[in-house]
Amino acid sequence: MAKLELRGVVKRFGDSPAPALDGVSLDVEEGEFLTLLGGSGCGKSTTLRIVAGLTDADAGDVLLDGRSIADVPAHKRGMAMVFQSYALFPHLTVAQNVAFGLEMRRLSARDVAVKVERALDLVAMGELGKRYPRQLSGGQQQRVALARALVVEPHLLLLDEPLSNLDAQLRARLRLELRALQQKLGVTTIYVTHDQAEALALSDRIAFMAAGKIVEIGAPEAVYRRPQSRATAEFLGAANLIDGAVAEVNGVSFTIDSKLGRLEFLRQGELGPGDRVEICLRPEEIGIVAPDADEGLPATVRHAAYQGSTTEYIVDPVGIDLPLQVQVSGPSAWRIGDTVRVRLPRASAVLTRGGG
Amino acid sequence: MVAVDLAPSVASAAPTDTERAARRRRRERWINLALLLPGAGFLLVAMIVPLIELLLASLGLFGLGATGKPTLGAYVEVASNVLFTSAFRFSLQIALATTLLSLVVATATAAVLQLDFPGRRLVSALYKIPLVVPSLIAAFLVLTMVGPGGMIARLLQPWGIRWPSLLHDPSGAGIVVVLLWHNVPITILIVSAVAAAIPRSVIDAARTLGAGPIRVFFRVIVPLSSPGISAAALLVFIDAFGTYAIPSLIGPAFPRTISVMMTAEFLLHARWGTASALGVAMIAMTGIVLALYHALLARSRLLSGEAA
Repeated sequence: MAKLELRGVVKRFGDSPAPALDGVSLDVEEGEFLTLLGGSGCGKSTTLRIVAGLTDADAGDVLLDGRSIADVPAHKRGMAMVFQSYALFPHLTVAQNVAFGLEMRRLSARDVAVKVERALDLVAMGELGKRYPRQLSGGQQQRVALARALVVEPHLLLLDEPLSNLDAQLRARLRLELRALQQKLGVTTIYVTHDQAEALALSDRIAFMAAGKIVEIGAPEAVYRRPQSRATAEFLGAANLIDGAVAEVNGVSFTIDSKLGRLEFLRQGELGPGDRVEICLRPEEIGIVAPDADEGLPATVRHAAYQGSTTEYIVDPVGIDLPLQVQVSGPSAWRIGDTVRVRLPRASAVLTRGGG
Repeated sequence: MVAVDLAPSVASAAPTDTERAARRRRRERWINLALLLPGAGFLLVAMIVPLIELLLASLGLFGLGATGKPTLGAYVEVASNVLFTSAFRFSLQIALATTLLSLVVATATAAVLQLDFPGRRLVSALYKIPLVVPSLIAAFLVLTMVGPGGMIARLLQPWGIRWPSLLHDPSGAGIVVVLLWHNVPITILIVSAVAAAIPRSVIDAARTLGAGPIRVFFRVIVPLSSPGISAAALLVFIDAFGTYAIPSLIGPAFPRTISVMMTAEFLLHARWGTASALGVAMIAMTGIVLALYHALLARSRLLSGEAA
């Protein structure tokens, strides 16, 4: 368990004009579960490999508990990594795989056996110690890989898209198991993924990356509900983004002029009158009410799709060319063509336009 | 889906259709046989026939000195005459030394070639040169470079260092050097191909778990390259065991390799019986090694759970 700091880490690959990492700075607190989230090529995996010592940074520093480890080779960093492809040793049994890191630490055979058994029990793989990796399913292989990483009691647990090769149901289950395990052991963890649902479900904090930089960092709810940039807002889930300009600021709220008319929101940031903004309305934040309600914008239901636990609508505010995506829990209450009213939330995020 | 839809139409086809199909199958069988003929015929003429001739000759039933009655005399001669037994030992010694040294040098080189270092492409181009240079030329290289009075010996002379003679030396070291010159690149090529197929992440996993370069090599790269290593070992052993040109050029007068002995028996002494018996013994030895290789392969498959 340890604290990790990245200081202005830069990495270039070959002759590529844009650096893969363009000055990444990051603090990971002791026992924290931090997720590096972003699309492919954003530099999240490169960041993880630099932390692991598998790739050298061109500039900047990596500190573990305040000491620079930039010159420490990967095998002396006391970390453990789990890979998307499981990366089990195909020539070793499950138990031998888990024992590998302990043998590298020259533990006695008896200690190794005890720890291997305990680690395999931890991931519910105690019965399968004598199997070879190729005899296991993907989910089982990844459990073994996790046991192999955890058994060495690493300072830092690094996970590189560990669930991406698994099917959706298994992914959701392992996600829960992984989070429970991490909280039980309290191991500092860095998790790399492109899946926003995983990031939101697992993390203490999410660092959203794009083009080799950390764009935004914060708790899952904060980055989801109050993204600071359009890129984050769009990556983390469906969003209705509406252009506008600040009209008046009064106390705790302010009003914004937009295509939807003058709207009132809770005041946020340092926005003043005249500032051009973008309103980020999450589909589930918007409500649909009956047409005779005395609030909300009149609108027509253009599309309704029943999704089981929720229903997704596309509604057209009357007289305004700005279709809105709306998600309501439960079965469909409105049909295509119905006239309704949409209620906009006051607490939605308001972003500075052009702000990343 | 398509197959299901087609099934009824096939079933309801006229009997003439099934007849036609049967005729077509017969025709195809003949075509297949005709296509097999060149390959199978070559095997028959170029391999099976000479092998039978060799066996018959070794039993005194064929060729020069044939008595018409089967005899094991040639085998007794081969097994008892020190000239032949030492030839057998010498060939085996050369083959084992060449195989072992090739594997050590090549596996280490193949592992290093997996890394990215400056000049890697130059190295991987350079080591392939011996592949296109005949080993006979390498033998001349040994003559001019490492032989007595050769370049290295002359370079070392002013320092008072005596260069060991690799020419005509009874230990076979010179022969092994030339055989290595040719076999190391082949081994590197084979082992590299297998080592390159080891997923990067498996090696990375070993590194993060605390394995330094040497332990990554012995605990991950070598075991995972073992199919290539054993295949290369087999090829090198068979090549080195039967080597003729190099020992006949730079080998000692005694002991001589089996191939050299065999040629002498055939061409100089016209003793087809003993020459053939030597040939059979050589093939038997290679066969044993091949069988061992397959047994080893089957066992490693079993161990890694492929059979389950």
